[in-house]
Amino acid sequence: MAAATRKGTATPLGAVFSPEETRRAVARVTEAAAGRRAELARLQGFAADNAALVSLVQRLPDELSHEIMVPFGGAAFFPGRLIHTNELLVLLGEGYYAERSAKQTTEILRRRGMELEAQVEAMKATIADFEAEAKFFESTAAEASEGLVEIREEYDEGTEINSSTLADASSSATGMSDKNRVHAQIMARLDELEMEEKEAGSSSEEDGEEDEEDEEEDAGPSEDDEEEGDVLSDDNDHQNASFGASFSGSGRNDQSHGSAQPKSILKKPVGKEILKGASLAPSARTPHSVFPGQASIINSEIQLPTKKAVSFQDDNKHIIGSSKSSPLPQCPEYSSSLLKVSSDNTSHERKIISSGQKQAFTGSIIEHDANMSTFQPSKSEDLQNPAISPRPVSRFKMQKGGR
Amino acid sequence: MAASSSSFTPAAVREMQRDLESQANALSKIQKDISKNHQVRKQYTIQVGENELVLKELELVNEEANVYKLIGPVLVKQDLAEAKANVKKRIEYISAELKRMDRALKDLEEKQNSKKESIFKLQQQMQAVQAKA
Repeated sequence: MAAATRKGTATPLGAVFSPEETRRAVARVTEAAAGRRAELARLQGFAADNAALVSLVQRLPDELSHEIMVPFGGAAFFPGRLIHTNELLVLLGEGYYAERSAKQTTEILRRRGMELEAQVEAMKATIADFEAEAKFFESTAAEASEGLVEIREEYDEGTEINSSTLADASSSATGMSDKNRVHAQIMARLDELEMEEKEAGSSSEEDGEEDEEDEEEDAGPSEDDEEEGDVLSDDNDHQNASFGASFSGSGRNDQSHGSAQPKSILKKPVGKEILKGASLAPSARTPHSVFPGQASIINSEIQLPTKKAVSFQDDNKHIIGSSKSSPLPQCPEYSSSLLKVSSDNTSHERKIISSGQKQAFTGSIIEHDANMSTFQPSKSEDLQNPAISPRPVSRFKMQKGGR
Repeated sequence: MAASSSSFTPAAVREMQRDLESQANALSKIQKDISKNHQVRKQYTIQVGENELVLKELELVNEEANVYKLIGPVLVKQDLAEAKANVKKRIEYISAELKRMDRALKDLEEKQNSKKESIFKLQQQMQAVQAKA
């Protein structure tokens, strides 16, 4: 894992919480719990007494008078009678007595019983808390004595994401859901592409092609009504297959190019937005290789990108000053030029795609909006036009977004 | 004290130790006070609860019933209204006492903390002196 490269501290749990101290804490807590339990027993005794009294008081008025043995002194009894069986002096508390009938007495006793029950419940809760605490201490003591080590590592968001995505890409067997995996893979590819881009300054086109590839991939599965994540999760190795699929899909989308374009643009910045926002600094304008990832994410978060998409489109219009339709005719030219560029790239698939479709280059060009400004006007135009040309391809994305 | 802490003479050290002892005693006294306060507070809380219960029952008793108060070994008949008033006053008194105890407890705790700090500082000084010596 990338964590290995980062510095971390490993402290034995025993050092932080010494076993003896923990054991002492456990003893303390159990003591307190025992005290509470004694209280609980007392309260429960009261409750039992109360219940017995209630039953007795209810039986009293059954007879006019009861024959009983009256206690006399310490050890003597004499026979007697209990009269006025319905009149009772009830202790209300604090030395106050009230004369009440048997029924009223049972009412009083019942209320007292409820109070007692409430207290019993509270006591039980306290005892449960204490027991939980004791258990926790006990487990900590056991762990400390076993020599468990606590490992702490710094968390660097940037490297964390990179490393995590790479790790995911390499080991597809993670607990993450397909979508997460796809996302991670996309992120990994994006990072790779970013690095490539940085290394080769003018590799923006290449990156764009990469994006295109990814887009194709995304387009393919989306058209198939599969989860975008599923397709991507198949692994980057399956690009060829997906490309084929996207290939046909793109053919289908040829017609809806015009309408697709704005949406594709929308998607690109959006996806980028989302991905960037998630991990990297959001540079909305530069539709990096984020697109492929965007495809999967866009569907769920289409609303976000709208803003960016609009601005993006404005940029396009700005730069090119051409209507939607204009990019189409230009596409072939640029696609060919892009083809040349793509040839530089590793994947031949891109060539296939770009050659197959006039609209081939979509995201890639857009990526480099920021870079384009630094380029010479002609080149920027080329880049920008292809940016528009991708619209037909981006239609896939649009479709994706539509779904 | 400052002079003695800087010197290493055994007399100064002994003095510091005596200081520490006295401060420790004071601290233990404060802690005892705190625990006593806790106990009294607990009792007061129970009494307040009981009185409130009595008041509730008295409210439920109808006007005709007889209420008696146990004063020593004598059960004295009492007027319902009077009994209610008495119980209410008792509740108020105990609540006021409880509040007073709370304030006293807070003061005691503060004093305890400051004492602990001073003792700690003194201990550190002593350790420094002993280390040097």
